[in-house]
Amino acid sequence: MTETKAEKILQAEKEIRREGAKAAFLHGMVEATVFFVVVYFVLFTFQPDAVPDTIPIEQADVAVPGAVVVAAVAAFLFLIADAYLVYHKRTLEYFEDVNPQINEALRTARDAAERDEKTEMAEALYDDVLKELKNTSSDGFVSIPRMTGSVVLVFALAFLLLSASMGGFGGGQSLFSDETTNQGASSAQGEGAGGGGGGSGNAEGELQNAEEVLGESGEVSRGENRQNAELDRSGSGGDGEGGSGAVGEGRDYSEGVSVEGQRTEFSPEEEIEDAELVKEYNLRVRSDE
Amino acid sequence: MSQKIEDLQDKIQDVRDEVSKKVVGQEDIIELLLVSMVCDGNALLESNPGLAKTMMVRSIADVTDMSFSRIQNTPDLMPSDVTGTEVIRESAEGSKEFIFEKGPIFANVVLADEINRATPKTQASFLEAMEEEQVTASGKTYDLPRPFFVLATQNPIDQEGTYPLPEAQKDRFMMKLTVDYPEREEEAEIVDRYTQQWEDDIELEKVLTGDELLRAQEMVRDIPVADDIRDRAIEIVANTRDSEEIEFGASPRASLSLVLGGKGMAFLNGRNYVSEEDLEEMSVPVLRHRIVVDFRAERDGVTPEQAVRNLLE
Repeated sequence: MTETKAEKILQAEKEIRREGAKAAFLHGMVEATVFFVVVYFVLFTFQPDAVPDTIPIEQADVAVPGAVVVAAVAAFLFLIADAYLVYHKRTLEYFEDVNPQINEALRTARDAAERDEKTEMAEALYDDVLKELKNTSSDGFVSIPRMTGSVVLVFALAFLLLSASMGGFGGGQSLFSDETTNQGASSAQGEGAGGGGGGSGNAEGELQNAEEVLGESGEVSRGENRQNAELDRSGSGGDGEGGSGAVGEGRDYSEGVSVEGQRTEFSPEEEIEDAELVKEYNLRVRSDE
Repeated sequence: MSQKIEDLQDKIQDVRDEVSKKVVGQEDIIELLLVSMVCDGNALLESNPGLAKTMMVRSIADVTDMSFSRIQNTPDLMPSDVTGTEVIRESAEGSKEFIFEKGPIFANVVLADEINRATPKTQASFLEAMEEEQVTASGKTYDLPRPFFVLATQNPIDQEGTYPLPEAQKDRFMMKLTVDYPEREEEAEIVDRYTQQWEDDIELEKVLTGDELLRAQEMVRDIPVADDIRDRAIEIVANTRDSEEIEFGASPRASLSLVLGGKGMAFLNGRNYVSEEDLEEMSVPVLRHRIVVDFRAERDGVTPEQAVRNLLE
C-alpha cells in the first residue's frame, strides 16, 4: 500500500525528531560533563559532611571518593532530564528555529496530518512542506557556540580543579585511591605512634609520594637477592605494644637489616608493585609480632 | 501548491490590481474586503462621506461577473423595499396572480449605504438575509444568489436620526473596516485622475467569475490551521471577556470569524496555512465592533481598536 501524503508528513516528523534526539544526546553528554565537573568542584571545595570521603567498591578493590559518585549521579540525572526535555519538548522547535522558512507550514502540516485531513488545500500543503523539507537542514540541531562554550567550560573547570588539587586546595583528595593501602598506612601510623613512639606518623603522605618513601629511582636489577632480615622487637620507648612502624623514620627494627638495599631497587614503572611490596612487608612484620 | 489553487490566488490578486485602477490608495481596505468575500462574510464599513466607499464596492463587482445593487437606507425604507414584495400581475390569459417581485437584496454584491439610518425592522431584514442567505416572503422562501456579499456602511458623524445597530446584529458582520482619509500624495492623485477624465472612462476588466469566487471560498474553508494557531485565536477572543478595559467581550462567533479571516488572509497572500501574523492582522477588524470598551478606559482615551491591540501585546 502506498504511503499517503499525510503519512509522509508524519514520517518526516519522526525523522526530524530522530535527528533531534541525536543532537540532544550530544549536547546532553557535553553539558552533563560540565555539570559533573561543576558538582565535583563544589563538593571538592566545600566538602560537605553529608558526602562520605570514599565509597568502597569491593568488586574492584578500590574506593571511589564520595564527591565523584555524587557528581556522577547528578550528571547522569542531568543527562536524562536534558535529553528528555530536548527530545520531547524542543526538537521540532529547534528545527523550526534553524529553518524558519518552513516553521508554521510544518506545524500546520503536522497537525493536519494527525487529523488526517485530505482536502485539496491540505494535500497542497503536504506537497509544499515535503518539497521544502528537502531544502532544510538539521545542522542547526547542534549548536556550535553552545558546544564550544561547554567544552571550554569543561577545560577551564578541569584546570581549576587540577590547580586546586596540586596547590593543596581543599581536601587534597585524589580521584581514585587504594583503600587497602590507605588503611594499612593509617594502621601503621597508629601503631607506630603507640609502640615505637619515634615514628614520624605521616605514613599516608609518604605513600602518596613513592619517591620520598622509596628513595631515588634507578635501574632495576633483575634476579634474586635474598637477605635475611633480623628484626628487633624491643621498642626503645613507649608503653604500648607494636613498635613496628614500617615506613616511618623512627622505625624500631635493629640495624643491619637490608631494607635500604631494597629501596635502591625502586622503579617508577613498578610503583604499584613496590607499594605492594612495602605493604606486604608491613603485614609480615605485624604477623611476626 | 497545485496549479488550480495558484491560478485562483492569482485571479484574486488581479481583482486587487483592477480595483486599484479606480480607487487610489486604500490597499488595506480593498484587501480586507476581498478577505471578507473569499470567507463568504459580510463587512461593515465606517467612514466619513466622500471616501469612495461606493466606488470601491462597485469596482469589486465590476471586475467580477457578479451582479451589484445599492440600497440607500432612510428611516422610511421598509423591509419589503429591501427583500421584495408580492405584486398582482395579470397573466397573458387574463388571470391575476401574486408574483414575488425580488428586491435589491437579490444581488451578488449588495451595498447597504448608511444602514444605521434604516429602522431596526429594516435593519433586521438585512441581517436575516445576511445570516440565512435567503429571504422569506408570504410564507415562501427564496434563496439569495451565491456568492452573496453585503457591504453595509455607516457614518460616524451626524448621528441624529439614526438607529445604531444593536451589538447582537453587529456581531453578524464578519469584520468592520474603517476608512481613513488618504495621504496627501494619494489625494493629489485622486484629484488629477478624476478632474481629467470621467469615472466611467476607466474601464475595468472582468477577471473573476462568481463560480471562481465560490471555488475560492471552498478552498479557503479547506485551509488547514495548526492547533496552536487555533488556540491563539481562541485565546485572543477569550481575553476580550477578561480584559479590564473591555466591558463586554466577543462571542465564540468572533473566534470563528478570526480563524476564518486568518485563512482568507493566508489565501490572499498565496499561502495554504495560517500564520500568527494573519491572526494578528485580522484581530482588529474582526473584534473592534464586537466589544464594548469599559467607560473608565474610554474616559482614558482607549478605543476599541486600542483595546484589541493591547490584548495582542
